[in-house]
Amino acid sequence: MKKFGIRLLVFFLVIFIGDTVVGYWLSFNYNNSEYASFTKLKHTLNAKEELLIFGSSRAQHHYNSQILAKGLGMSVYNCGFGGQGVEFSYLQLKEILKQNKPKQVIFDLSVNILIDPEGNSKLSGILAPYYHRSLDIKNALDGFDKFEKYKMISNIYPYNSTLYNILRRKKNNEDALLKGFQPLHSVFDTTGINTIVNNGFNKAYSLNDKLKFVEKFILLCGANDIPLIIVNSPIYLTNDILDSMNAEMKLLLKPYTNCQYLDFTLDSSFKAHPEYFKDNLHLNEKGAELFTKKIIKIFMVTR
Amino acid sequence: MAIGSAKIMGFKLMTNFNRPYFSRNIAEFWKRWHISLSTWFKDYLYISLGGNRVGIPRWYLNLFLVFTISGLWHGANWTYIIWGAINGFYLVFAIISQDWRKAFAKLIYLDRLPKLNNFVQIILTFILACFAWIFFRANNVQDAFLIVERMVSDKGTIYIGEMQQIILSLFAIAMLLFFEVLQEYKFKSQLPIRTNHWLKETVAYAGLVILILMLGVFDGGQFIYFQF
Repeated sequence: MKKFGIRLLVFFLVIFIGDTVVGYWLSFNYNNSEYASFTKLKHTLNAKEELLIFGSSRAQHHYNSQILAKGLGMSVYNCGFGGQGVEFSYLQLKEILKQNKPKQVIFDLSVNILIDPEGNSKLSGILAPYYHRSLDIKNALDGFDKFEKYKMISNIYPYNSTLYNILRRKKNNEDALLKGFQPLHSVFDTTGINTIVNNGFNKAYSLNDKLKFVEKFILLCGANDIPLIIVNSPIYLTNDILDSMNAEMKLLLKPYTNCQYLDFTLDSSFKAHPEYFKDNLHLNEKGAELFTKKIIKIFMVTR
Repeated sequence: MAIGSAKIMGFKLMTNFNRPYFSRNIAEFWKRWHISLSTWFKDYLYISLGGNRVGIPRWYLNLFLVFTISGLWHGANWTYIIWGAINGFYLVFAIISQDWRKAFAKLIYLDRLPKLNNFVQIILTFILACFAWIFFRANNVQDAFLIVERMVSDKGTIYIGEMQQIILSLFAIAMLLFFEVLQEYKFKSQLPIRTNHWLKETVAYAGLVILILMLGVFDGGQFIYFQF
């Protein structure tokens, strides 16, 4: 029994030492990494720009920060992150507001993000390295998994699956110049698009119970007197179900007087124009340029 | 994991999966895949139906029925039934075509290269098993047939995705395959890091825990066959 006890002690001691050393090494390299996604996340949590754009991949690929900055004469950063849900945007804004108050916020919101059952659950994968940064992030991550707080005892776990990108050490100057915007370069092959759309949106969901974090986001902007524009950016093709959900979203956002809602899903400049799209939900670089210019025009009129 | 967890509590479980993808034919595959279930079906259904001590047509029917019913055991869905039936068909066809296949191997001189012959048989069995898995995995029969249809019709380019994912996947596959090959052909132990020195072994296991923390999947879905 004594022998077993010693072996068990050695086992946990080796794990403890390994976890501390490797965890420290990962943390140091993560924080000094030049990998675009890591540097972007670090920037967005501390953003100091005047105009900030939030949302998922549709935000990330649709708003050309350079064109916006030039057209509006403001500093701009695109905080959009592919695959992330509304809660992520809310946490980003919350973290930013602890240090800085943007002059204007654009929030790209679409039905597909609201109805994605895994939308918010991807938070842990991206925000884990910032678990100890604030109580907001900690509570959000703990909310997804009751064991998360125990996993976070490990120094390695927050950097799980980041090793490859940490080791890449790739410096990409283009990323810094694009200010968070990530252009997509190919043109949409529309073969079978009707089936794709009908399979993707084959059931109408009620959005009423899916707006919790959207409401929190709106109220956070309101409490800080930040003008907010919620944009439903262009889609190549919609169907009746998607159109009805977009209409419902517009209706549900109407009571919030501190935000303006713009719906581009049926905009004829984009609808059924494959040359502006990478796929059904994402504009390519050419489409993003046209769309950004449209946004600038609306800003000018509003001003 | 199941064997290890049970052993901690003093239970000795049988080996349930014995590297099935190294099987050289479907009959061998079913001796290596979900062994406890296959054994149960053999003892309580196949033998009860008469096993192979009946006329040949009835023997084939017995095999086909046992596999179709084993498909149903996995769930009340046509996808599972079709999956079971496909495996039953594979098995019956393998028996019927045994002599033809041997003759064909002789014709192309494959019988003179036993290692290559084995390799070809492993690959073919793997492809057949994977084809049947389409029906097992698909959400419904329509989806399964759509997948099969798309496999043989020209529908765009192969999805490559991010290079990072490709490299990581290839690395993971190579690493797993390396250990599987070692275990199949070199060591027969289930624990490749087993040594006679307790300290080396302890450090190796602690190292594995650290590797899991670094590279393990904590937010992914469960292995599809876990529920069975």
